[in-house]
Amino acid sequence: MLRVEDVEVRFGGVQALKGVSLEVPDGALVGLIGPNGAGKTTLFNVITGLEKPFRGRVLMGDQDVTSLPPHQRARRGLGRTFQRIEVFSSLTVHENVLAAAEARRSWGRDEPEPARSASELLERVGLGDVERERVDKLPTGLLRLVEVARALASRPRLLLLDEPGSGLSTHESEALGDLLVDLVRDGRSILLVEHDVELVMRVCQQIHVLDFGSIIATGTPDQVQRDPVVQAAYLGTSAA
Amino acid sequence: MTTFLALSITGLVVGCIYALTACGLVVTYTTSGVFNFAHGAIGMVAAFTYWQLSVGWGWPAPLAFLAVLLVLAPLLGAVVERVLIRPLYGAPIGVTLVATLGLLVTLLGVGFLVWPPDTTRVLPKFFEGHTVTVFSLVVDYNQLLVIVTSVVVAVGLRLFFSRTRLGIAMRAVVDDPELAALAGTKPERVSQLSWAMGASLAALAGVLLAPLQTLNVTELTLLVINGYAAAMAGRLRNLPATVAGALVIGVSSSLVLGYAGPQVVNYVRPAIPMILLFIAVLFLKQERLRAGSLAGLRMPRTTGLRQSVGVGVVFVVVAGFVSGQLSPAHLAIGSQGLVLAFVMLSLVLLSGYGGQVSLCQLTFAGLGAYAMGKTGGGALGLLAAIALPAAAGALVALTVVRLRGLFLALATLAFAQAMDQIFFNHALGYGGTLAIPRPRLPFVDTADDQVYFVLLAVVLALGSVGLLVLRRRAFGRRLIALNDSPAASATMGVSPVRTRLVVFTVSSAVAGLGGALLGGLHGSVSPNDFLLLNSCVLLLLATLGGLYTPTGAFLAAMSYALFPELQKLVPELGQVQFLLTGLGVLALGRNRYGVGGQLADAGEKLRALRLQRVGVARAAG
Amino acid sequence: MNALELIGLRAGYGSIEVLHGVSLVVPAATVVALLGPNGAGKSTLLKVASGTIATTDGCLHVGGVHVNGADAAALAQAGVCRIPEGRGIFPNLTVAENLRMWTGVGDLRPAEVAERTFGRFPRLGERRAQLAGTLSGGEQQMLAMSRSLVVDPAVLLLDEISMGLAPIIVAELYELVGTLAQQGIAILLVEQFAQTALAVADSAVILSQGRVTRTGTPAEVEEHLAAAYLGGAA
Repeated sequence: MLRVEDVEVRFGGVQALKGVSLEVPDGALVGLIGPNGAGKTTLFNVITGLEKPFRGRVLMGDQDVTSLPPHQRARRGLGRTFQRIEVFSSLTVHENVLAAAEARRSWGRDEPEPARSASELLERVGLGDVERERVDKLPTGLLRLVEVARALASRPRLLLLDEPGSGLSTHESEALGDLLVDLVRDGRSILLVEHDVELVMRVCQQIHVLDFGSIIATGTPDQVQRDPVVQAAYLGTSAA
Repeated sequence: MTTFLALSITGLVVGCIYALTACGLVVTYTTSGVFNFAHGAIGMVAAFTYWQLSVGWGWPAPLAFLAVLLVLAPLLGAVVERVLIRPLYGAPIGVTLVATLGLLVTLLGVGFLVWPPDTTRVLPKFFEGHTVTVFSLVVDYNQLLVIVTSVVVAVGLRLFFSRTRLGIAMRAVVDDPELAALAGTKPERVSQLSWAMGASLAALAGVLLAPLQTLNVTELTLLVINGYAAAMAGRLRNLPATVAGALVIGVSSSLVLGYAGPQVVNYVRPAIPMILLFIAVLFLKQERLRAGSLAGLRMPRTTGLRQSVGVGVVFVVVAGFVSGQLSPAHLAIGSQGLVLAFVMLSLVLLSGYGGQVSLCQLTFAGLGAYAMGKTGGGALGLLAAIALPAAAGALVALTVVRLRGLFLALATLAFAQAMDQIFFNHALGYGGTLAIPRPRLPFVDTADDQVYFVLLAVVLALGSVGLLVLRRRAFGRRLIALNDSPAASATMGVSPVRTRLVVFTVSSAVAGLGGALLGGLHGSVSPNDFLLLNSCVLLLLATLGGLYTPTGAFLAAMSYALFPELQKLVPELGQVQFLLTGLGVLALGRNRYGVGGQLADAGEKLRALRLQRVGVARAAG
Repeated sequence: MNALELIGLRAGYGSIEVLHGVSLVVPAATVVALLGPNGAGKSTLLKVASGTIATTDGCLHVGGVHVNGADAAALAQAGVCRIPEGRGIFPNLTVAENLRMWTGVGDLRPAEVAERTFGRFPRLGERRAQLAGTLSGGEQQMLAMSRSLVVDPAVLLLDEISMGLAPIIVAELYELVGTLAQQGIAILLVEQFAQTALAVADSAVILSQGRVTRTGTPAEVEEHLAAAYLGGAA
């Protein structure tokens, strides 16, 4: 579904990403974890086209999308949420999702009832009760769910989620985990960045660990958790 | 060769003055992050104050010079920073833009009030009559003074920024204000100092420029705006590049004036700095589409369709009734307000919903009037009055579509000013007028002022309802979404370029139609109807009224239409539209939703209260 | 006397609260390591203690004085010195100009500041006319740390000073940290690498989701680290 090949990003003299490659197979839920400043959000920006890589390629399916602008990539089935929340703060919760569904209708032509789809999606992420509220009245945790619903309204085949669980209660974050598993079961692929390690370990089949702009480990949750290199990255123990 | 040298010297002198003003602008902008649109107006006030002290009250020229430059101007800058700018720290560009534009028109108003234009004021040149001859070229002392002063200032600034702890601190604050505070330097103090310095440099430019021109409030203000292009050449950061840019602009304008035929001179010369500004803005590297933060403004609740249609119908009925009661003079004022309100709907769409600042809405209105006048009216005329501005709007949008915020404002400002100078002055006739017919309709006689008044009310009501319908539909949501978060919009497949292009085009068409109707109201238009400064006043009034609601547009337009009446009542207030608008903005500038927004909020509160009561009643029952 | 004391401190960004009532003390001449997973609020805590972010509730005491509401510049004058995460330098100023900025606090003359800095970090002396942004990462961090050397602070707040640096430079910086503590400065240390921090710390605190979850000696705290960072399984 998604292949990132040898992506390098520089900000001034600083290398934010140093030749990152990873793959998200069709229908997989892949986790991406790593300490703050490791380059996770930068990688998301490269994949969605908000950031131009200095080197490397991004492929969706067989197609090289590296030179496409963000909205063209979205139309090829890429959706995302943002770590620093990017809701439409002058619109209601429902309108936030509706705007995305309507956009889908205008370029996808397969969204007969955007208003109903928006309501259904909000119901699905657990925001059915607040859909008429202005979005700026919601706590941040719920805003992340608004973003998830909005991303789903574009009917993406691949979903990039940037810390959707932060600011959620334990209960809400469990529900989010179930939702993610459901979404993958429906045939979507997901790349998940999340600080809530327990959530990642629970739902992901495969995890990549990013540290200082490089992938330092890849494996199943169990493998990653036991990997001394990962422990070193997180805890500073001298790597064996 | 001598001609060339003489022209170059003249140009060099003007270029030096642009350099001074542009450096002031850059110093303020880099340190405080606010682009001061009132920079030229500060120079204007300083020049007049200098005239007042030296000519009016007979102070010795050097004393007056020093008093203005070293005391009054820095004081003004420091006060402006403390009162106006500091509370806006971190505010979106739209807000700071409105604040400094407000200061601009306030200072204009003050200028007209204190120094009424009916007397001619002349500032003697410095060292009048003294000249030196360099290589067979006669250079007067005044020119020499300008050049020497500029060199001293340029060198002084360079030393200040590299050698003194204060100068280094100013650069440090630009780099990282948070770290500067951690190192014990108060960023706000440094920012205040930069405003004082900027004002002082603006004043110096104004005082040096004034003897070369006649002392005229608007001209001085706008001439200093020419320095904007130079500041852009330095990307608003780099002082040496700014100086170089200023000199190139000064010399090239002077040479064009000297060598080109009178035709070109009349058409193009006054607009050269604006054309350069436009180009400079376009070539500036733009910010990438960046994920922002929760900085969006909270818009008032949108009125429902049924409610807005109801209000529209009542509005038209009331207009019909009122039209019978008004005297011809009052009818004219009312009509003026109605048609301007319609023009302002274009601003609600473009700026209110779309978040794009435009200082050239009256330019599109002028194009609409022009099309109507040239085609001789009728259905074809109306069509042309929509099509021509729409086409022009699309063209402008295509060139500026990647610009946002400050740069969009500057580009539209340059466009408006250039159109003033190049197009309207000639197409509509210098000081002359172009006859504009009223649209003809079956069954009603639009030549009748009363009928025309009602017609305008109908058009305004239709436009407002249409706008609200648009807001509640997919396009309105897309527009607001794009304004709130460009990054999120793009990641749901919305093409930002196409959406902006569409809204700019539609908004220009609305303004154009309004312009045609405005022309029809008076029977003719003149270049003075579409001046840049009036566009600024309209934008400010619309902000005051509330950019997010047709109600706000209506309130703003009505006040604008009433200004001439007010001026007749209190003639000693001078150009009352500037003073009142400016003061209004300065007073209410921190309320970003304007009066219209307040009304909408109040309505919402009432509704909530009523619902609560109903709820209580039900619970009790 | 405690040089720095936080009592039930709450703070955050806008409507988002990050610290939900944090209490901790840093006595003079002591190094306290502040540990915890990403997003726990460690950097926010340092920003609050240095006046960059205002407290919404609770008390902030510096040298026993209640200083809630003082801004960053005022707290800097009062003896708080925070070296921020990433680059604590002005990249577009030269090394010498950066040092000139450090004279905003304390009463050292520019020449004395240069002398002290270059005495400790001779490499900076060779690069005094160079733009700070063009220095290597290690040199940049030395320049940032030089501020703690010359402003004679009472409280030093260090935010991830080892981030992205070679071990040899990290060792050099931590040697300086030890020296500063011996001089009587109270040091609160945030580190990505918990082990590095624990090696120099007198005591440690784990912050998790905006709350202090554990306080103790380095050895006591170390046992609970893996669970706090990587979840229960590790």
